[in-house]
Amino acid sequence: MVTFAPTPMAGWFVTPVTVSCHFAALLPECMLIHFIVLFSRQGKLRLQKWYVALAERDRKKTVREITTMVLARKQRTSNFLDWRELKLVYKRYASLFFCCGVECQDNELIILELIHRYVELLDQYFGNVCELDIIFNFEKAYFILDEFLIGGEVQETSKKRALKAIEDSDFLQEETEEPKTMLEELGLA
Amino acid sequence: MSRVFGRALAVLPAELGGSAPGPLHTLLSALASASSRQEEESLVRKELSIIHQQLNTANFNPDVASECLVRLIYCATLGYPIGFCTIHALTLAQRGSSWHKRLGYLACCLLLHENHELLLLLVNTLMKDLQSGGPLEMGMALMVAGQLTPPHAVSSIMPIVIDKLAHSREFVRQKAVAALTFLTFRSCSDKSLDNENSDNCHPSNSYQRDVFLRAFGDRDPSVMAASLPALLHLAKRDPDWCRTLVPALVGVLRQVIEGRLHGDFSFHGVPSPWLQIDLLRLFSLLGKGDHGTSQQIYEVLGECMERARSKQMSAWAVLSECIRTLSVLPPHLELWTRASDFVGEMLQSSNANLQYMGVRCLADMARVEPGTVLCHRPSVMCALEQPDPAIRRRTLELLCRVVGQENVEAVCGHLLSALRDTQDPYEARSLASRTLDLAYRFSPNSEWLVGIVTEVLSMREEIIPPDEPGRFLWLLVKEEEESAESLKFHALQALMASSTAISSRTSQPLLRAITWVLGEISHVQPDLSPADISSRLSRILVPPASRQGSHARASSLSIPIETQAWLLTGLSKVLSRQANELGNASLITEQIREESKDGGQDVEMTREAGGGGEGGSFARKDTDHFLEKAEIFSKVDDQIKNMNASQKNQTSSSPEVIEIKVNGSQAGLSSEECNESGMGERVDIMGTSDVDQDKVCLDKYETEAGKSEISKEDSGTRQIKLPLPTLDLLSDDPCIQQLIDELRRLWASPSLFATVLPASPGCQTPLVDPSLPFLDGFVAEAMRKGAAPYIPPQLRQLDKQGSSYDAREIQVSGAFSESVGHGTSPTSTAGNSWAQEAGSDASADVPQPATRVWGPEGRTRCPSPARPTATTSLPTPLSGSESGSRPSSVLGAVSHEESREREKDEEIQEGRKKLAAALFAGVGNIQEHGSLSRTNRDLSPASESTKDVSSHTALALSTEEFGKLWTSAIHETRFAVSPPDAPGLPNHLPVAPGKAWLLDFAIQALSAVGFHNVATAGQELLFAAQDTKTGAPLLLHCIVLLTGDIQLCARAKAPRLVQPMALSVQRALSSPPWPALNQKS
Repeated sequence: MVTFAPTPMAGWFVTPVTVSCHFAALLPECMLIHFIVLFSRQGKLRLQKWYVALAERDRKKTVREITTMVLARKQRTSNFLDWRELKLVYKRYASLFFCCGVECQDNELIILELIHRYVELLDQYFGNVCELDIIFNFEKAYFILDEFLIGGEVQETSKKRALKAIEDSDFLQEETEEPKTMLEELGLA
Repeated sequence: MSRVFGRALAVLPAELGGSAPGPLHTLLSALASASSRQEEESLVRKELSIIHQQLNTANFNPDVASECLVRLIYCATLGYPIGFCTIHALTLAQRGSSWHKRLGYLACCLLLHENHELLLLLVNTLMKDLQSGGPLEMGMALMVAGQLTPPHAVSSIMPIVIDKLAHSREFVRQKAVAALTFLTFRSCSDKSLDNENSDNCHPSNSYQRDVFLRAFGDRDPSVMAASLPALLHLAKRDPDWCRTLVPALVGVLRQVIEGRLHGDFSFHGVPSPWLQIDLLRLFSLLGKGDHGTSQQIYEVLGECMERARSKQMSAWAVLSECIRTLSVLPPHLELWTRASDFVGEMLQSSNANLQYMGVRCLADMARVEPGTVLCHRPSVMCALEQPDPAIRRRTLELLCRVVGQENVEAVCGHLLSALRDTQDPYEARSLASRTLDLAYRFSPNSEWLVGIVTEVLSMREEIIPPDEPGRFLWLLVKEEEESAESLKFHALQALMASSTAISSRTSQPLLRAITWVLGEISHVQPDLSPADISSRLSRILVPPASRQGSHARASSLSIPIETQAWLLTGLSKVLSRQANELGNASLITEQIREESKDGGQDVEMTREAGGGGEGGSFARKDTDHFLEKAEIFSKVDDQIKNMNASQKNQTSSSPEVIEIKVNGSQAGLSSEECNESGMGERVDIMGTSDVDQDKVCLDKYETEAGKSEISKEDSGTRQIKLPLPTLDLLSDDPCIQQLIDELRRLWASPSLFATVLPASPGCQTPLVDPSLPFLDGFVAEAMRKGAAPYIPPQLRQLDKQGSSYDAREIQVSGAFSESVGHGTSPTSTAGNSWAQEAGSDASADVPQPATRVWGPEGRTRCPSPARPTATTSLPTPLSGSESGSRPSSVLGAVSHEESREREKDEEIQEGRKKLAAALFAGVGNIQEHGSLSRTNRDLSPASESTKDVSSHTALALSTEEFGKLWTSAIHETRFAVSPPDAPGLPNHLPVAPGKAWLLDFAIQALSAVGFHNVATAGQELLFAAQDTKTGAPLLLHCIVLLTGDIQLCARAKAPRLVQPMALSVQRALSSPPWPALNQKS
């Protein structure tokens, strides 16, 4: 267990966020993404994926802090931010912010590219993706994310294969669900 | 939700073909039209109850369940609690087929966490899917296994996952590798956290390696890429083994940069940037400090940098990773120049991200070669003024790496201004500790250093590093002679200044620093009177506003207990000086009184008929006579004035007099003489706190006369007025209360105070005799009445554990260590004489262990850091009146210990004086290159015969333990040993005792006593040993000095350990294992 505040200091942080991140404690050099969150310009959370175990309350608090910080950023600044012991790498695509929390030693630029790759995948899958696609088909967005990020490590670097994996499972869906649901139709729209 | 979104929702169904909207869509539309948060909440609650009903219907329908789960996940994303439904996610994963299963797994991943109790139910599903599912199910299960496997299920799932490495489909193999990485290293880290032993993880190391090597050698590039994170973990644990892979890794990287992988793997024209970065990270781990490996890497690294020249961001990412790897490898000139060029390009780019990365890379390079920064000075200056806080922060970090003596002031100025600006406590904390680190390391002069430290300490408390102000105060005491005075002077100046502006918001560390400095080193500035300081301190402790009643309660004060203790200790130091001055003054006054009596002068004496009946109040004097007095008198007067001024200072804010009552019996504490004149005098002086500010100084005697009359009315007690409201505090905390009590009693008897805490010019820290011999009589008496002997907590614990120590053994061992202390120490006579003085003749018969009533920690009176002191004056002899044993004479131990310490110090003073300079230089050196390389040189004990005493065994310290001991200066004892006399040396010794010889000699001698040689660096040695009973470690730092002596510093967490061990070392060094040495030479 690692706390964000390494030394106990009275009155320092009323409820220190306790994160059980074994990787973080042991392996600072490994590429490890702690979380990836998608939120709108209004600060509405659209997608959240956590690669470290965090209590529900702390997640909420984290998301709140992050959205405020990122939304308050001025234009023409870098896409990187320090947040507690982590770094935030964020990028805005249209009305949607993509934000990753990474270790300090991580290469920020490649995380930025990771976000871009994710957006490209979404774009290819949905065809000119917009925020609504992600709202209505968020489970698909999760599936795509899972295809190339497992346990905070980038898995699949070939775009074609990632998409194929998703399409395979979509094929499964069509097979199993003879009467098409609205959900599925939306997914293929 | 936005209006745009609402409109879009409205048109969406039409666009999608006009079919009936699904439940999720209905929910979303409803939420979009919700106008307030409350409305949204009620909608979601309604929805959740519907979902609950649907899910709880008897027959399981996967379609309905998936529908519900999707909506549930959406509600969870909105932040509503959905704990009730997690079980349905598991059910869907278990009973659904393909698509539903996938959704079920997704819901599990999103709604459960690693330690969730329901995960147990998931394990079976996972195993079934892994063993008998189709490739897609397998893929899903592997993905979940790589995120959610509970720790206890790892061992059952792992073999199945390993089997999947041989699967025919590459995406299954790839996911299996990823899952395996998670399972192996997560479970290992769990274990290593528990057992502190990461080697015993399961499966066995070699098996792990085989598995991951197989994956690394897979024909599919994505499987190979997936194995790299695992290799990174392995490389960290066992770099030597991984170095054998370097040629293969170099080959892979070369293939990648030459574009041999399929075009699919490229990202905007850059071939697999993630794979490249993983490989580069591996290289930096493996090539670190290894020339051979680095030689293999340089070439491909150069190529990689060359090929990464592209405008693409991912190319820059690879490039920056190359630079970082390069900065870790042993420097390579040509690549270094190229890297520097690239960094320049990044810094000058208009893209903020690239600037940011440029600064980061430059910081990495500056760690190796600070000169690199010089080429990019203008860009760095630009970056420092960037509006982007992230870039500014990285630039500050960069500057910290290039700090030297010349630029430290400028850099610290920047850091401080950033510190003032920042709102983020995390950033502020790191900035504060950085600033202080730099200031301590490179401070050009003491005034500047003090300024920086005071400034940081006066900031918000939560950002101040936890080791402050201890670190600063430690600097004040350990500093060398020349700089010490100016440092102390400036510290006093600065903290005096900040003591005037104390408020409730003043940070505790600053408050403590002020307290300590005022108490300990205020003598540096002679014009500061102790009275002034004590009034300052008591004002801090009890602010004027809170002095409402005569009895303030400490618990009602805003100051934390710990700071209260600091304040009281500081106060006791100052008061002791005051008492000393008073003691002198009282003697003088006594003389005057005698004179005046003899001369038949008109001096009015008021005598009180108190319980003791002996107290005299020197209450009234004719002012005219006063003015006519001789020089000797004017001295007294000066003193009185002095005090008076400060009293006025104080009373101006709170005019009430604080009185304490001293019974007649307690009045007997001090000598009769002191009673008569000392206290009498003080009654006079203290009485003045009642006096109005306007009154002339000398008028006070009149007033005091009246006062005394009033106080006379208290029958049976005598009232002594103290200047300090502090002493009337009542505290709920026993420690604080005890401090107050002690101080009160000491103050009541200035002569005792002066003896217990003599006002030496250096304000030596009083040391405590841990054996507390003055209690011997008391303990012996108790034991005679059948009390059980005291057993230290450590031994008690051992007893509980069923070890073989019985009470007798404990006594014997304790007595043994004591006898070592007494028998060989030259201070034993002092101990005895004191024991006689204390009137406890039984002390000799008392078994020693019983006297260890309190550990030294429990009796340490001073929170200030202890330090090795070289005292110059002998202690004041105890006055005869103290010899009666009383409970309050507990404090006598302090003086006893001090006398003991002084004798010991005198003994070694000879060596110490001439070595002082060299000693400090040595310490400075070793602290500077604090990372001693731990060359484990095992020297077999030269002669077994000398291995006697001991309560210690050789010990290989854990790194953590080592660090703790190294930084702990609390129980440090120092002693110097000269090499054996030249006549005693064997004639055939080739050279005169030189440094090398001494080094050998020390190693031999200490190894013979059973110490373990941890490290040798230059002329410094580190030894470790362990107490056989408690297991407490001890570190011995041995420095061979220029003058040919050996300086030893022993550090132990158990102070009990140090003395016997130091003695056995001393003995070993004075009777070295000559035969072994001779054979060698």
